[in-house]
Amino acid sequence: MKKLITAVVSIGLMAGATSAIADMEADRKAFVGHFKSIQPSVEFADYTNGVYAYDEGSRGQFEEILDGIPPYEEAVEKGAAEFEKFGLAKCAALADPAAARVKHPYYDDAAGTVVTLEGTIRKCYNEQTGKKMGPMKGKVARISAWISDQAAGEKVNVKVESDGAKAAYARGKATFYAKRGQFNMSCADCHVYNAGKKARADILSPALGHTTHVPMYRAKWGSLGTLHRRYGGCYKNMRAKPLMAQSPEYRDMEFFHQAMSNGLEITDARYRK
Amino acid sequence: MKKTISSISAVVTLATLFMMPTQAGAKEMTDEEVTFGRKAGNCLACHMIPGGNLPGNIGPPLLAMKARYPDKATLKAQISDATVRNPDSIMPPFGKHGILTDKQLDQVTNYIYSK
Repeated sequence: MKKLITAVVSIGLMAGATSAIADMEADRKAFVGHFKSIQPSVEFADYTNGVYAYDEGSRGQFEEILDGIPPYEEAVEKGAAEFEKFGLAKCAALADPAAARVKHPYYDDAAGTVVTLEGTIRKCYNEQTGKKMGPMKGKVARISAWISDQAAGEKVNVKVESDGAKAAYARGKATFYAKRGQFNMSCADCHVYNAGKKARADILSPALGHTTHVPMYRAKWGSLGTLHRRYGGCYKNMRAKPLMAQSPEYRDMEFFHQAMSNGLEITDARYRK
Repeated sequence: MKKTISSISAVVTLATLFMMPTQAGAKEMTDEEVTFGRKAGNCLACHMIPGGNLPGNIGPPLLAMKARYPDKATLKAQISDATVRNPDSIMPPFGKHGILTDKQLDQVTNYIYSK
C-alpha cells in the first residue's frame, strides 16, 4: 500500500489525499487527469476506442475492419442464439440485457462479493441447464458480447457505495498497482504511466477505456475473450502465475478497472490487435 | 500456463547452458544476441540501441554509456536491479529475479557499454 501511494503521489495524481478510505470518484478524476496530462490532444470520449485514440495508423486499420464484417460478428450472433437457447432471459438479472451490462460489475452486499457480468451469465446458465460454463472464452464470451452489444452507446457506470464495496474497490486498486512476476511490473506501469509509449512496435494501451469493449476480439487469439482472459495473458507476459478467471482477486480488480472508465460509452467495436 | 511453462523452461534451459559452458554442443550467444534476443535481454523492447531494429521508447536510448556510467560496475548493477535506485522503476530486475545469468549480465553490460 505504501508503495502504491508513493507511486500514485509521484505522478501527482493524489496530491493532498489524506484519507485511506477509498474514494472512487476522486481516484477517477485523477486518473482521467493523468491521461489528459500525458496526451493533451486526446478527447475523453475517444478513450472508448482504447489504443486507437492514440495512433492514426492503427486507427485506420481498426476502422477498415469495422467497416467490413468484423471477425467477431458471427460469434456475437451465435451468442444471441445461445442466450435464447439456454433460456438466460428467464433469470431476472439478465432479463433486460442492456440493463444487465450497465449494472455489472457491482458489489453484492448480501453475498459480500463483486459480481461480474460473466459471473451472472455462468450462474444463470448453470441454473437453466444444470451444466457449468467456462470463464474465459467460447460461450461465456459470445453471450457476454451479445449482451454488451445491447448496451452500446450507454455509459460505464460502476457504483462504489457501501463499506464492503469500498473495501473490494481498494483491494482491486492495490492489485492493479502492485508489481508482480519475474518482470516485476504492475498493470499501471504499462497502462497508466507509460500508456501510448511503445514496447518494440506495440503501443501500450491506456487503462482508461479498457473495459468499454469487453469481451474483446483479439487478432492474437483469433477469438473473443473475456476481460479475465486478458488479465491472465498480461500476468503471463509479466512471467507471473495467472490467477483463475473469475477469482475474487480478478473480480475486485475488474471492479476498480471498470470504475476508472465510468462515463465512457460502452461500444460494440470489439476488435483489438 | 503452457506458454509460461515454455518460456520459463526456455529461460531455465538457457541458464543451464550458461552454467555449463564446457558442455559439448552448447552454442554460446554473442553479446549482441543476449542484448537483443527476445527470450534473453530483449533490451530493444524498451530502449533504442544503435544497430537494433524496432526499438520501444519506454526507457531512455542507450547511447554514450561510457559518459553516463564512468564506472562500468554501476551500469551492471543498474541492469541487475534498477529498483535499488528507483523502487518504482518499470525495468525488470534482470539479475535479482534471475532473468539473466551473471555471465549474461556481463555480456549485456559489455555490449551496451560499447555504444
